[in-house]
Amino acid sequence: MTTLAEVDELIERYHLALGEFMKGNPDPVRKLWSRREDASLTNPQGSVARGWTEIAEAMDRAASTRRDGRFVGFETVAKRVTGELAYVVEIEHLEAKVHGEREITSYSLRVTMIFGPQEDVWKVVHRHADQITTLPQPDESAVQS
Amino acid sequence: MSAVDDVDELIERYQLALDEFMKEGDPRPVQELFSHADDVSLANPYGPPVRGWDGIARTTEHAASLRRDGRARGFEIVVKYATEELAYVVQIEHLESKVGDSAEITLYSLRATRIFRPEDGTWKVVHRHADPITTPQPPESVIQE
Repeated sequence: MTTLAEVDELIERYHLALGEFMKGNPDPVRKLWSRREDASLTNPQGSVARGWTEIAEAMDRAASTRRDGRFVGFETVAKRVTGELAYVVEIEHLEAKVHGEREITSYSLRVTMIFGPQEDVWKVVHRHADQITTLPQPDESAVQS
Repeated sequence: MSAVDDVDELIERYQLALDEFMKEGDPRPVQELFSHADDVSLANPYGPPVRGWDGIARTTEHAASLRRDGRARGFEIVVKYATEELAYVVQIEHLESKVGDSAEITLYSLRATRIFRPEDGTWKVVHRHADPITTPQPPESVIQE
């Protein structure tokens, strides 16, 4: 399989795994992650997690607040694949019952994911996700509340 | 110079350029470090990701126009990784400036993922993803208003 095909397959598997994540199960997503100390996750809940222990904790916490959801779809903004490192920038459309709510909520994330080969298998080495997907944000939006 | 040295130098130059961005509202030093290719992308704190140089020029000009009398206070590197063809850094950027019409200096921090690649022998920024989520957010926070 070419590197491009491997990375495309990893992205597709990640999307499928996010469907399970939105039902509250982080395990399929976890399987796609690097276990190395230089892996990192900056998720919409504010984590700046480095290394597998912190990343797993952050993912478990986020998944535990999701149920009955699904991965709705995605739009690719940019993608580049080289022999040793690859990345994708995408918008992910998701839905779930969030934090005990009875109603399904639809939302979107903008996501940067970086991938690297580890013992011949490509893994996620970084994911940065936030909910800034609509215009316009107020001028003050770069400033923490 | 090795890729690691080149990337380190670009990271340092970007930090100096951000200082100008915050101080004078001048986007040019930052813009000079970006690739001007069609597949470059920027997901800044103000809105959805933009792709291509024209959109990035407009977006950085808009963000800079809202900044004055500021500075970059400091940077924390979370992860840095460089190969010959692609490299990235995950950073916390500590910034301050007057924002919009405010007469007061505001301190804030951004989580930033930046991706670099060499173009004609010079390393350039090909993607930046930055958001102000540096404190833990409630689970509902991923949902758009």
